[in-house]
Amino acid sequence: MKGVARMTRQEFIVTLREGIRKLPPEEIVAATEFYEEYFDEVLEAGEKTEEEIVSELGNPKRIASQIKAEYAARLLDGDESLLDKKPTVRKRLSAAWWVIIGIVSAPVSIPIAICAVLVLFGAGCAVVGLAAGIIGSAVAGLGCTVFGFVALADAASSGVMMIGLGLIALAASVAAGAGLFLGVRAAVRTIAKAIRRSREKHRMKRLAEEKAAGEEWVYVSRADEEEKAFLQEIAADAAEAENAENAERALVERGEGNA
Amino acid sequence: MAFKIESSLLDACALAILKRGDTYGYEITQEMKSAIRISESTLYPVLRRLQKEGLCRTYDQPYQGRNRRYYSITEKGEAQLLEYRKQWEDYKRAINKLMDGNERGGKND
Repeated sequence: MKGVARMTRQEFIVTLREGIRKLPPEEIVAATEFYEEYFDEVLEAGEKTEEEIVSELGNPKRIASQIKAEYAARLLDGDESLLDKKPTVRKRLSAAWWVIIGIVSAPVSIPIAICAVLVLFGAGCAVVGLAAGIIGSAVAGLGCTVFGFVALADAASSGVMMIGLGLIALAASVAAGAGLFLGVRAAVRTIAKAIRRSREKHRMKRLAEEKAAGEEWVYVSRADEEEKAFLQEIAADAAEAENAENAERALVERGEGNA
Repeated sequence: MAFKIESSLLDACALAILKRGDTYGYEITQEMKSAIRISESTLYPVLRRLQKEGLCRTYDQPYQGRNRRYYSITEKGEAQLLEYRKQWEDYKRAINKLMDGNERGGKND
């Protein structure tokens, strides 16, 4: 892995630009200019080398995320200056985002959801089937026992055998029922635990990411800002992957709007 | 620093620095860093936000064969700074009231 400390100024700028390439051109230019100027200023002060400045600034990917999050927050808060400039594109994009997110996530999430529902349904059917079988055998055992008592008067040995068979069937049914109950309870608990664990894992991952995003950077690590950035990220990815043509057009329009 | 600095507080600090006179990014960073512990890369989004909200504007001035981007507080920015200062006073007073070490009067003696 390449350490940030060994990155050159050029690599830093390239990585930064790469990280924010989906933002409007003016945002990319502004950020690049700011950091280029920052390098110039510090170098002219003559106290630090290029590499030292890079390592002080930190991971350009992280900086790119901050800029994206800040942009997303501005965009979704309905920043006036953004609205003035390109109302139609902005509105159309944000409306289209949700549609695109839906389309893109559908081929992945719907089959998974269907599978999960089918598996659960199958397991439910199996449990119901087993339960029906057990109840059936219990009823049969009970019937057998009762019939045995009735038959006792006429044919003692057959009656006793029937009673014996019926009681065995009853006992087996009760045992199977208890087993089924315990099994289902254990399965439900296991599933619940697995879900809880995966949620916990997800949460921990989020926390870790949040922490990695910077200690002093309170602003972007606030949950809602992060969510907005995340949404924007997904939407941008989706627009690129699913609807490259539209995204291209939007970019061209945006470019014209700036010109 | 034990306390996290909220974005609005960063905005207020940046505006206060600009209120003293037009200056450029590196100098703003240095001034911020002289008072609070922030990372070098924290300032850009702050300035960008202020600029986009019309609280400051920028202009370029040639300096040693390149451009230096100066930031200048706008009227809207000054109004916002005034508001921030007022709120900061309230906030400071409120926290100080809780933080001062005086013991509760009623229970003593």
